[in-house]
This record gives sequence, structure tokens and C-alpha cells, in this order.
Amino acid sequence: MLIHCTMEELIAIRDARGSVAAKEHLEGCDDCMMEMERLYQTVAALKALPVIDAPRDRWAQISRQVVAERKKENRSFFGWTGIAAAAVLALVFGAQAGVMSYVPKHDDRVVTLMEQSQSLENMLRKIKPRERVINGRLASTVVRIEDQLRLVDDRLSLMRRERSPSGEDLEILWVERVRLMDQLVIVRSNRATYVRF
Amino acid sequence: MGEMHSALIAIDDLAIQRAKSGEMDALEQLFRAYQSTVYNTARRICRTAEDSEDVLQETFLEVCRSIGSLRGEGVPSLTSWIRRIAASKALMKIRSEKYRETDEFDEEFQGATNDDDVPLRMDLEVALTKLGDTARAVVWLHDVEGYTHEDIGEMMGKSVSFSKSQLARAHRKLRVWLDGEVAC
Repeated sequence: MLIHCTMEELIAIRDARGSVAAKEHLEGCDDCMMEMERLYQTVAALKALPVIDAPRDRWAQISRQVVAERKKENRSFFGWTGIAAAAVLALVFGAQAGVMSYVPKHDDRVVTLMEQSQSLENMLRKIKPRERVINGRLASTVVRIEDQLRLVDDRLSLMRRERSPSGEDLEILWVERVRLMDQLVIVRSNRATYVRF
Repeated sequence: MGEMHSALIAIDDLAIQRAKSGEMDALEQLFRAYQSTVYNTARRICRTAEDSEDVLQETFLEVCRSIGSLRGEGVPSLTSWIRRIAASKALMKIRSEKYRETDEFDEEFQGATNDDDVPLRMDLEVALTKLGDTARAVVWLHDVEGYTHEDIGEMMGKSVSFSKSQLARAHRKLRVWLDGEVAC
């Protein structure tokens, strides 16, 4: 047959997904076989191109930005913790403080979750984790949970800025926050028990 | 592959764990091990060294931000994760306004012009830079980095057949530019 393989067909055969007809043609056609060989040579030459190194070291800029972002996140995390505490206090004293205005009215479930979260935070403070030595694996677990907490807090902060979040979204985030706080308390307190013995 | 080998030597599971915990010296260790791989991918896809440096920076910012959520264990999954971020960032760069305008122009220009306008034979490096941005990216990602058309289509937000046709078209051009003869 005089109809040669197209470039699409040659590439397909090279990638082991060519049609039977194209493969049969290739096996019997010197011209197409030569084209296939050229294709292989081009790809080999592409792979053999020298590695181009970055002209400047960018780590200083990257690390500066990462550190700045972390500081910002921490501010947001601790800021939110403070707001949560204030919210609980406001509840206790029956005041409808401004910080609570983002919670949809009559959303008791969210308020309960906020209280649970605050209570777990208080428990965590009593464990005084920073005074204890923890191993690498435990530290990694703690960091992972804290990272997830930060993500939840970031999303809560965003909602707070929106001022009119849906009660359902808010509840999902607070459920997640309570779950993570609970995990953190378990991890920290298990270690604390272990240390005491 | 040389830079991949150096990454394998420089990075171990402990370094990955430390990087996942956010330790800056471990993150720097990752940067040192992978910067060459990332920059090279970026440089082969983007037009300028400046854009490639931006891709390098954006890639490692993403690595530092998201490594805690990396699910896979060990160096191979870390390597493919970082390479994937680099490829995505480079593709984002060539999708930018600046590139899009001229890439479209290049494609039209190349389609309208006679191949006699280019030298009969040219160096592969030159030929690669002469390809349109999208075609060059597809060639590099498929033939050198080993991504499938499905991967490339997904990363580019295009179809699998788009990736296939870009690759074939690019190879037809390379074939003519490199050997000075009409391809199949």
C-alpha cells in the first residue's frame, strides 16, 4: 500500500497505541520505518538537551514570603481563637456582641459547637504541651492537626469577613474544628500521661 | 535525569517528614535538590529566563504551602508531585495574556508562511524555541517528562485529542526544520 503512516500514526505506534493497520504498514515500508527512526532520534535528542540551571538563587525570596505568610496565618489563627473566646463569653453573659453578628440568628447548634471548641482549647492549655518533650512522629501528627486547624480557621475568617455566611457552611466548619481540637487534646494528653509515668 | 538522581541522593524520608512539618531548613533542602529540575522544565516551556524564574519561585511557594497535605510517602511521590506543580505553573504562565496574544499570532504566522522561510536545517534548541508555546509545552511534557496525553489535556484544560494533534503538528515541523525534508 502506498499510503504512508501519518505523524499521528507514527507517534501512536511509538506510544504503543497505534492501529493494527498502521503497524502492519510500518513493518513493510522502509520510508515509514525511516520516519519512525527519525522520530526516535528527535525525542532522544530532546532528552539529551543540556539541563539549564537557574541564573539566580531564589530561596531567600521564597523563604521570606513563606515566613511572612505563616506570620499572617498565625495572627489569623490566634485572632480567631480570641474571637471565639469572646463569643463564648458574650453568650455566657447573654450579650449579643458584635463579634457574634456573623452567626445566623437562632443557630444554636453553631453556638454549642463554638462552646465545645472553646472548652477543648481550655483543656489543651491545661495540658501545657509546650513544656513537654515529644518525639518526631508525635510532633508530625500535632503539626498536621494544627495545619488542618489553620485551614479551618482561615475559612472561618473568610466567612466572618463575608458577614452573611450560610448556617450550614458555618456548622460544617465548626464541627470540623471541634473534631480537630478533640484529636489534638487526645494526642497531647496521651503523651502527657506517658510523660508522667 | 541527572538532577533527579541528585534529588534522590539529597532527600530522604526524614527530610520529607521534616519538610511536611514546615521546618525551613528541610524545605530549603528540597529547594536545593529540585530547583534544577523545576527551572529546566520551566525554561523549556516558557519563553524567557525571567518567566522561568517566576515559575521556579511560584512552584516552591506552592510546595512550602501545601507539602503538609502531600499524601504519598517517599522520594518518588514527592518528585512527581513537585514536577507536576512545576508543569502546571509553567502552563499557567504560557496561558497568560502576554503569551496568548503572541502564541495565537505565531500559530497563524507559521500556518500562513512557507517553510522555505526558515533555514534548511537548524539546531534542535532553536527549532524548539520556534514552535508555538503550546506545541512546545506539549512536546516537552510528553516526550521528555513522560506525561500522557490525558495528563497534558487535564493540565491544559484541553482535550486528549488536542494534545495529540499538537504533538503531531509539532513533530511535523521539527522534522522539516531539523532534516530539511518533507515529512510523512
